[in-house]
Amino acid sequence: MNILLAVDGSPHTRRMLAHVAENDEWLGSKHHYTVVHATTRLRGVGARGVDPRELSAVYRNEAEEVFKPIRAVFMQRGIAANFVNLVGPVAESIARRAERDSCDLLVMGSHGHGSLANLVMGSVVTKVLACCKVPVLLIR
Amino acid sequence: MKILLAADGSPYTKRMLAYVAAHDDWLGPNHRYTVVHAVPKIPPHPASFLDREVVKVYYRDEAEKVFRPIRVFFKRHAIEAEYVSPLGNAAEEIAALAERGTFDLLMMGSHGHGSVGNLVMGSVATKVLAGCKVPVLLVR
Repeated sequence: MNILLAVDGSPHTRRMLAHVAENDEWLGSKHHYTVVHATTRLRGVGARGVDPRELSAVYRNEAEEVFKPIRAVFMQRGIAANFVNLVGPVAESIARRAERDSCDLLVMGSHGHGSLANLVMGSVVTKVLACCKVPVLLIR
Repeated sequence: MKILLAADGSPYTKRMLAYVAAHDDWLGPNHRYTVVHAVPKIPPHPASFLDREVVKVYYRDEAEKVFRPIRVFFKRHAIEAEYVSPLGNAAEEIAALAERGTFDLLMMGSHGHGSVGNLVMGSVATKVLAGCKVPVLLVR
């Protein structure tokens, strides 16, 4: 299966990874993995006067911070994975990527990926569900 | 994996089965399926006018209507499955069963299971997500 893991470095992502790692069926070499992290583009005052190259370095560093422990998990198990950092609206970017790669499964934590808390699901999860037709596995 | 499959006979259930059929990973011998369909209870007052046997047959028929195509589906793929049809509120019964049965995964359609529509997810899917800690795979 073509599996996309949406990660954001929150405890929910850690829980999601732990779950995936626990179940052999998920982290098998027969699956093809893409680990995606999306960063909101810095705009307005925050981005003013910042060199675009510096900005993309900031995005890259932020993603790398999130990817580092995940790379370790994959390396440990000898499983190849693609690591992709997207810059743009978080939910839409994740959903678009999943559709584009015609993923068979999108795995994400039920929360995280954004600052707004929600009782049942995070706001990003809700939006991802609204934006894409790929089956979504939510790990709580 | 121990998989709980929530079915309600809607087009969303059909789509979920189509997804399972299209991916060998879901049809391996290492999975154990339990199919659940919650049958709404007849309110006590009207039920009191009916013969107890009639009510029992009605509940069984209602569940069987949903289960029949799924039985055919699993037989065709030579997979054994258990079938349970609790009486009561779909969301509550599904969530309770998911928690009680130590399932690794709850699979359900993103809609269906109820008459009230919702943009992103059905009301039952939302309530199930709120009510249980089991990873949920939503098929759209």
